[in-house]
Order: sequence, then C-alpha cells, then structure tokens
Amino acid sequence: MLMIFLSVVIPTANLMILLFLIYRSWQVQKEKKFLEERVNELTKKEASIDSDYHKIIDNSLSTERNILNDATKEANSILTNTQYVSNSLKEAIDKVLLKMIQDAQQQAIVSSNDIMVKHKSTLSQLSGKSLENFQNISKQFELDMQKQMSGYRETLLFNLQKEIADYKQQKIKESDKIVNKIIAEVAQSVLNKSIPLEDQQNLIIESLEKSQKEGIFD
Amino acid sequence: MTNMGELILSDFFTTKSQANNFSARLSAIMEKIFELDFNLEKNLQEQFGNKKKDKFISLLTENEIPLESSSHLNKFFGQIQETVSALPLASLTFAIEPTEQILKSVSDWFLLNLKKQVLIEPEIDPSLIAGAVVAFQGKRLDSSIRSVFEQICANIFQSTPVKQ
Repeated sequence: MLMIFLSVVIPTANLMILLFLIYRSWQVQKEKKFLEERVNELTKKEASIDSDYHKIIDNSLSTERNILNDATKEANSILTNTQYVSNSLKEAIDKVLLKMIQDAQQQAIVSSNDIMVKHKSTLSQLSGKSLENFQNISKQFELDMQKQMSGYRETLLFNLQKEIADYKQQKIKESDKIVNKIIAEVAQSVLNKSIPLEDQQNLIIESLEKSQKEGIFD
Repeated sequence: MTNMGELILSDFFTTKSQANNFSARLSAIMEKIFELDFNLEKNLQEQFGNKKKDKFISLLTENEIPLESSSHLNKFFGQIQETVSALPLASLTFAIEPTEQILKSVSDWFLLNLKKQVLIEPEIDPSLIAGAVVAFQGKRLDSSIRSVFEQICANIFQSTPVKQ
C-alpha cells in the first residue's frame, strides 16, 4: 500500500515543483524587461536634464558678463567726474590758503615789531631796577653777615672755646685716671710679690701706728 | 679671785673666727666637766692640742684655779667665755694673706699699745700693695701703700703742665 502511495505521490510532487519553477522563471523575465524599460527612460531624462543645466549656466555667465561691463562703464564715469571735482576744489583751497598765509605773515611782521619795541623798553626798565635791587640785596646781605659774624664771635665762639676747654680737661682727667689705674695695677702685680713678708709685717704695724695717731682707736 | 680685765687670751686666738672656734671647744669641755671620769688634761689636749693645752694649764695656774675642782674650773671657763664675747673687734684689710706670725704681731701691738686684747677680722685686698686699712668701732683709715701711691701719682699729674 505504502509503495503504491509513494509511487503516485513522488512523481506528482516533482511535477508540481517543476511547474512552480517554470512559473517563477517567467515572472523574473517579466520583471527584468520592465526594469530595462525603466532604465532607458531614466537615461533619457538624465540627458535632458544635463542639457538644461548647461543651458542655464551659459545664460548665467552671459548675464554676469553684461553686468560687469555695465558696472565698469559706470565706475569709469564716476571716477572721471570725481577727478574733475577734486581738481577744482584743490585749486580753490590752495588759493584760500595762500591768501591766509600772506595775511598771517603781514600780521606777524606787525606784531613782532610791536613786541620787539615793548620788550626793548621793558628790558631797559627791568635792568635798571634789577641792578638797583641787586645792590640793595647785596648790601643787606653784607650787613646780615657782619651781624652774624659778630654774634658768632661774641657768643658761639666763646661757648665753643669754653666747651673745648672743658672737654679737654675732662679728657685729661680721664686719661690721668686710666694711667693711674695702669700704674697701680702694674705696681700691685710687681710690688705685691716682691715685698718681703717682714716688710709687709712692718708696713702693717706702721698702718696701725698711723691709725692710732689719727685717733682711730680712741 | 681672777680679775676679768687681766685675762689675756692672745696665745689661743687672734682673729674672730679663731675666737669663735676656741669658744665652741671650751663649751664642749664645759659640758663634760661634771662627769665622774672627767680628765681636764685629756680634754684640753683633745680640743686644743698639746701646745695650747700647756698654755691653758699655765693660765689656770696663774689665775690660781684648782685643777681638780670642777666647780672652780667651770666658773673660770664661764669667765673666759664672757671675756671672749666682750673682746673688741678691729677689721683689718691686708694686701696679702696674713700669716700666723703677722696676726700675732698685730694682736701683740694692740696689747702693747691699747693695753687690751682686740680681735682681728681680717680681709684681703691685693690692690693695697702693702700696709693695711684699719677699721675700728665705726672709724676707718686707709694707710696702705696704695693710698700713698695714689697720692704720689696725683701730685705728679697735677704738677705736670698740660700743653693747651
């Protein structure tokens, strides 16, 4: 039974698969054709667009060139006009300045003459006064100096001399003390050791006798 | 009876410190004086030495003190203590450390000239050179060589004219 079943089913299935494959192949062929047509269409469109683009670019460049030419012409015209105006303005200004300079020079000559005259007169007046003032000041200065000098001699110099003398005396006393001290120290260190014991004893007794005479023991 | 004023102790001490030491040793003997086995000579020898012991015995004999009588001895020792504490004090500044001989000669000088014993309180000042500074009962005299020396120096400096 099974064998019979299998001998029927397997060929049938194979047939069905074959039919399906044939069908799919036909569909693919169909789609390929469609796609090829679409590619052709698109190629045509692209060529058209490219042509339009070039046309637009050419137009733009042509317009740009025209604009630049117009602008250059306009600029040249403006420059020419401006140069004319500036030349005429410069001439006018030069004239005015020249006039001003001439006027100023004239004015300066007049003023400087006036100043010179005034200055001369002031200087002569001043020199006369200054000389007089200087003489007065130097006289006063001399008098002050004389006063100070006499004051210095009377008070300062006297005090200074006194201070120097006092200082000298003080220093002499100080040096005397120092010399005395040095001599005493030397004498002490030399004599103290060199005096014999007997003499020391005799000098002590002498001191006692002297003390008795002076009334120390009364 | 012994007259206190005539007690001469310069054989035993000359300075204040020696007197204090003597007094302390005498007190030590006095503490033992009434003991039954008290031996005077032995105690004197122990405290003062052989030489001073003999001098002490002589002092006792001179003052007619019976050596075997503890009460007489005690009374005499007390008198000595009073004499020591009543001795006048003289401060003497020496140029050198005084020897026993110098101290004795000074003490003898006081005995001879002042007719009394004077305790010496010695001080040392090497700057005196020689001689002494004597101070007694508030009075003082510097008769050292230093004072003479300073006087000579002062005279020399005063008499030397200083160039102005």
